[in-house]
Amino acid sequence: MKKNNLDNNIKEKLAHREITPSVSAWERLSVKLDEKPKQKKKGLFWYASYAASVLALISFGIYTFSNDSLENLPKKEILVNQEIDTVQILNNIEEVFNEVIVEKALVETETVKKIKNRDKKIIGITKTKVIPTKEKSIQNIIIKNKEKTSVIEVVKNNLIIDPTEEEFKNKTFIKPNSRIKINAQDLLFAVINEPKEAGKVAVEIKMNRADLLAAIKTELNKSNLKVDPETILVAVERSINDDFFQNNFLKSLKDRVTNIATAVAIRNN
Amino acid sequence: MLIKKAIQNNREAQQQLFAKHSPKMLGVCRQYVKDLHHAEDLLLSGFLKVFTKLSTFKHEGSFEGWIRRIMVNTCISYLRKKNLVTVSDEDFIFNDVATESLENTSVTDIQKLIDSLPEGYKMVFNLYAIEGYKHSEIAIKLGVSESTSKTQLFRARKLLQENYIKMNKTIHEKK
Repeated sequence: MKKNNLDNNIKEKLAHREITPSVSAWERLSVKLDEKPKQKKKGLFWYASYAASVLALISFGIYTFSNDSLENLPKKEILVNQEIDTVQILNNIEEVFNEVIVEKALVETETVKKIKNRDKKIIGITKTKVIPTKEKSIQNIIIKNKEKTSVIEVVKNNLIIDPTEEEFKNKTFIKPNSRIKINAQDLLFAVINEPKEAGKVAVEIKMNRADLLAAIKTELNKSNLKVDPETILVAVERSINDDFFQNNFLKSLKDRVTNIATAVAIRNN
Repeated sequence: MLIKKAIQNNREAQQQLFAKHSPKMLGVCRQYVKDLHHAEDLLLSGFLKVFTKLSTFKHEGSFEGWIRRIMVNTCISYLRKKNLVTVSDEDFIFNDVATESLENTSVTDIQKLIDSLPEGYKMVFNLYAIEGYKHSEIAIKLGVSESTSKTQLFRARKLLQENYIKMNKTIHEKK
């Protein structure tokens, strides 16, 4: 749009117009000019204070963080130096061994023998319940069982018994928390019966030997003990009546496990 | 030399620059604001910008022109902040307004005519007719479309014409 006359006229008239400001105008401006640098200084001060506070916060954070890290390290050292772990392991091992011994002894066996005559009438019932404790040795059990065998023999002598109709119902209860599961039935028969009959039992034991080994192996795995189950079983078979064996064997095993645990702890540290 | 001293915050140099340019610049501010005291406040805030940003002056154009632009921008930003500028987008048929000569009219009367305009019209008229900005520049400065700037200018002119006729009538009647 072209500039018209109106625009030009007004522009010309106003172009040279001057209005003198008030006397106080410069003073007011001077005051504002003085305030401006102060504000700048103030602003710089505030920025500096903000920066300082931020730095302080960061340094505090780093300090606390580093403290935490330092605190953590001694904790780790304490954990390393603490022999609580070893003690705990020893206790656990001891418990395990005690448990093994007790449970070996705590084989609860209930033998119910029903003797019937030809008319299928029950003539005599013999119940055998053996719950040997830790203190009671296996020899005692043998004695007890031998006494009961003699009772059976007395019955045999006095009555005509058809061996084919003789039924033996044996109930064996094995505690579920047994560490080493030994078939109590086999053990009892091996102890009670005559050498001739024991031969049959021996066959049975041999048959169950694989199962026994497997049971021992699983229990050893649970205890994290790397010991050949075959060795244990053989040792048990050979010196089943040797009380000293149990103590020595377990003691040596215990010492060895303790050594292993200590070595592992040192390595981890 | 004065400018260099003023950049170094020399108060005497600043005062001399203010004394030299302030009357004309107050006239510029007065174009935008009716009240003279109000105009002076805008003048002072404009000069405060001038002295604080004096180091950015590149000596490419005239120093007066540089100060004038700062004054105009100060006035525009103030009026926009106060929402005194209400520029509406309306379609308008452009017709060239028949103009009469204002040669015999005094500056005071011309200022009265400008003062009679609504803020939006006045702003566009001042920027276009007096400051010599283009419509595209005015549109950016005021945040409106270019067509709006044109419309506002046309209406401003028409209103000035009408008011001028009324003014003359009253003068003649008084005589």
